[in-house]
Amino acid sequence: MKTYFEHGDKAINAQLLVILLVELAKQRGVQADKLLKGTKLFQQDLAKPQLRISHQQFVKLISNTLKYLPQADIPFLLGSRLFPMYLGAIGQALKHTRNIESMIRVVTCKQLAIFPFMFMRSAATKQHKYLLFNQAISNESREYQRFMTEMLVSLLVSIAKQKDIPVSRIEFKFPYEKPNHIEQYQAYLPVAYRFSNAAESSFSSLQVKFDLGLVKTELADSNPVLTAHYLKQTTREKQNVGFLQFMMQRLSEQLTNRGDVSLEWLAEQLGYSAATLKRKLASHGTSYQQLIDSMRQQTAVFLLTEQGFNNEKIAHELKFSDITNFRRSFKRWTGMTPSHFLEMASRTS
Amino acid sequence: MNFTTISLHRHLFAYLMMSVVIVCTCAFLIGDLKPKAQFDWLDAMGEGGITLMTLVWIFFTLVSRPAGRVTNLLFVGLLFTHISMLLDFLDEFLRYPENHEWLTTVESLPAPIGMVMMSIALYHWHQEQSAINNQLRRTERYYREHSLTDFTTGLYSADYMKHQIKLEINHAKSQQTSFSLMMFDIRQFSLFNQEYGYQHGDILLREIAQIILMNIRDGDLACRYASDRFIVLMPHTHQNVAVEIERQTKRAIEHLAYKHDNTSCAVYPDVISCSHQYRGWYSYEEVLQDINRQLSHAKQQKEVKIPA
Repeated sequence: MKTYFEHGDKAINAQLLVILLVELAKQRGVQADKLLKGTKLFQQDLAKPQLRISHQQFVKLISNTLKYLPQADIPFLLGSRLFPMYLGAIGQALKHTRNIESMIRVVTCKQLAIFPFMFMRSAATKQHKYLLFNQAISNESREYQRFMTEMLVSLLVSIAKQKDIPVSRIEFKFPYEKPNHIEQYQAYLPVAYRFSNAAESSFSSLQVKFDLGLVKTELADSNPVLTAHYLKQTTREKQNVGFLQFMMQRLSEQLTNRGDVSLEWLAEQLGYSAATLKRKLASHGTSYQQLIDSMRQQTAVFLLTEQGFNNEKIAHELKFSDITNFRRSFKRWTGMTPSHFLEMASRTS
Repeated sequence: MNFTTISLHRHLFAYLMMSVVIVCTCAFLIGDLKPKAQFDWLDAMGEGGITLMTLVWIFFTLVSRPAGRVTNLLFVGLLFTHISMLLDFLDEFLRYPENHEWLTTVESLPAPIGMVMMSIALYHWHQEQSAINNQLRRTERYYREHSLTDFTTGLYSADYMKHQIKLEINHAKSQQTSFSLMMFDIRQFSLFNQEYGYQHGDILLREIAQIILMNIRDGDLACRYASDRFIVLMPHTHQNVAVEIERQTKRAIEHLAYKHDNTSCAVYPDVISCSHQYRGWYSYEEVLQDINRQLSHAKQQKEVKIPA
């Protein structure tokens, strides 16, 4: 039983996004065939109902976009235009959710239909709620990752604006360093935001942070009956998840339950040989070690900077045998010790 | 490449074809082909190359210019030069009979005439360019880089502004002067887009860009910052003056009666604005961050005011 899809599987319904992108390109004098070059998609395909494409095709489309439409506002424009019209019934369901909590529930259930490229986890401290977004299918270039992140935040902001969520109480933390086109962030994102420093940016995720109190605040256009109504209209098919998402969720369950995992264990769980799993991971731009490292680094950085845990507690949380071991691993991930890292983080924010 | 101007020049292309055909037929009718042994290939290649290049110049002149007097002059000048080169090239393969020796003398005649005409055309082009530069004032300062223009509004984009602010900061540092920045942000622009469509959103942005240009002074520079945000650089400007111009421009934008279809129903844009004076001791990033902060501050103030 395979409940995930791979880089090359035609599992993504990104038709409207592709149409939107092609339209935008036309407006800026770039022909559709140029944008679709190498994607194995043709203009007439765009009109087909229920067109599904693979992540591979999508990545090629975005790399064409970065090449022929290098203007920095493209991902922001796309994101802001996705909601609510282009999301169809799910957009309507989201539009009428009662509060952020029910919004998170809808997004978790319908993630594949809303934004299949990244998956969401949530976390909380005593005062704050966090939403963390990671690549769901495969590891791609930094430019691709930034493009998709920008599109996602622009989508989130347009949803928040529509629902009258006080955006000034939200903070974004981007998994990369401050880009040159900072003006787009200033104009499109009426929220607080900061960027990662070079040390952590390789493994980190997009983080959205807000007061815990905001989670249950009643929002504009709230109408639970309508939400239920529109949710019923959405397809009830089995929702596969992306390859990376599946692997990371499996691993993190196992890490919290048992604390020890291995490549062999994971392969056995999936019914593959270790060699096959290795090859599959490699074709998704990652490796077993990299997956484990990125998950542990993300947790460690979160516990360190947001929860304010000390080294001992973090080492315990991450099931390290002792603090020295944890400190050594942390240094391997980020290039600096936890205390030095904390100092850097407080300076950049 | 953009070939939209080609259709404007169909008749010029026809003239070009006709002249080339006439020249070739005449030459072949009058002259006889030389025996192959007498061909000087090196010479032929050189002259053929030049002939071809003049054709390329004609082509690029036509695709990059609108129709008009200057274009016609340039075309005729280049055409004459081209005919000279063509005759010269054909010379390599043809021998003219004794009684038509005049052809060899005549062949070099069109080139100087063409060059004189092109010189006249370039002079007019210079004048045309000054007129265009005059139109471009307030959108450009001493430096041209077409890749930095914003597609929607026709103004330069934020990158151009960054470059100009860098220059201005250097200037302010060395000359002990100061400059002012002013910023405009259209409120509820995303709602406008959702209600009337993105095409109308783009047209609105373009019209607002025009209004800003009309309300600033020569020597000021307006750029589109990002999304619905515009920025204006005012060199050697004191805060008081900047505030006054900001107020005037804001009023002008708020009085734009934008009509989205053929009725008299109008939408009036709502803008937030701010302006501030800077000296040379900041980096351009700090300056831009500060002006954006001032804008969000102005936005918050306005939001507070509304319910009261």
